[in-house]
Amino acid sequence: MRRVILSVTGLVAGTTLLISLKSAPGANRTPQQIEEDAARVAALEAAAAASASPTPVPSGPGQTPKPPGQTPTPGRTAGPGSPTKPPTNPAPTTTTKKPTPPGTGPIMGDSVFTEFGYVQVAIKVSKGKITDVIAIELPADEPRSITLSERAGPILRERALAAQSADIDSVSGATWTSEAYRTSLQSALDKAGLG
Amino acid sequence: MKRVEHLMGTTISLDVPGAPDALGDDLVAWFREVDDRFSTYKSDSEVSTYAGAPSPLMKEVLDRCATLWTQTSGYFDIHATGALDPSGFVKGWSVQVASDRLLAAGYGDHCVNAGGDICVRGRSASGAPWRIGVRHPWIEDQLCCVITGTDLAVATSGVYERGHHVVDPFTAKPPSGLRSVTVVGPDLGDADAYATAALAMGTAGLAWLGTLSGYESAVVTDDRRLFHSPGLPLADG
Repeated sequence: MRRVILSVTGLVAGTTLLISLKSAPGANRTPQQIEEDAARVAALEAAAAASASPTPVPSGPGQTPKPPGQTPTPGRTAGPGSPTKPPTNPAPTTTTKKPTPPGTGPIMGDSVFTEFGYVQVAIKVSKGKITDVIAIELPADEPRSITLSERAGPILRERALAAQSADIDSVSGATWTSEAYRTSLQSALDKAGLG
Repeated sequence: MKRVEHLMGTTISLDVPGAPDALGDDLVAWFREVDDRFSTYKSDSEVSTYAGAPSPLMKEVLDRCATLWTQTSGYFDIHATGALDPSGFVKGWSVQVASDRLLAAGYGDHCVNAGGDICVRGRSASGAPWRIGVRHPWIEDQLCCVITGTDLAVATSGVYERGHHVVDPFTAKPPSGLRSVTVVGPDLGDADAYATAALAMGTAGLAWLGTLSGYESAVVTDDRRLFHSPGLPLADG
């Protein structure tokens, strides 16, 4: 059985936690445990839906828990052989993070990339502690069952890719050739400085 | 002192507020020495004629590259294309050496940029911390983020570049998945090699960059998503 360890950062000030995704949840979990997992996830999803507007849950396409065309529950019941959700591979989205008051509903995390694909989770916080995790976006071959584990190091966060111009001193880029330099922003900066 | 020189097959931009022009000559002489020794385009360079008897500088480069090969699980490989080619380390390393020399000479405010690999220290002539733009990987004259600081080494490796091709050493093919990788940290030689290695790893490089200690990163994927490490000193937070 393969276990995938993911970490989630920045959701609660300074908090990093590890989440273990079990690729074969039925393999060493009892049917009762699996049912409990499913019920837990369903309850959190219901809470997420109910608290969607007052809590900082963004509404971008990449952060919709159930993408269009997906039936609401079967993909999330985590039973052996149950279908898994295909990875949503959305347009770049931004996330909103605010200080977490005690006892609020689920809070959406950043989409992150792991060696198995894009992953996004929401957390449930109670009295400043993370009490549960919901998978929003998971690699295609990873099912629902998620458990919290120990702390881990940071991983990369997503932000919107936008083209911008700004007041800068120098440009970092993959510009090896002098030919490429001639048409580069760095060239324009140098001309301005040397002129 | 501001100066632009075309050397090492690329362009070197020096910005050292308050320094005399003669200081530029010393730095250019250093980069010329690096070019003469490590250029793979010069048939009489040490790297082109290397037969196992390294000069002290070559030994330093080969030792550092051997360490980086281990650190990157073999993805930073100076033999990836067959012939000895430490270019993915030498450019950043040579800028780091130049920056260290400037600091030692009492010029704690400077920006040295060689083909997009940058060392900044202190402040710019405006008195503010240096601001480094990361080139947008599809739009040549635009940026995708701005990094700011008073002591930064910033290296970017990308598949949009010409004249230098990163290959996956395990397949000998160009990697896919990542369009541009920028690594920021205390040493530009290491940052340069880490950026090259992450690019060679493809999308797995995203997870790998997250494991680096002391080095921050920004990555743009082929499917146009921008990821960055939590500690990256972005100008807009």
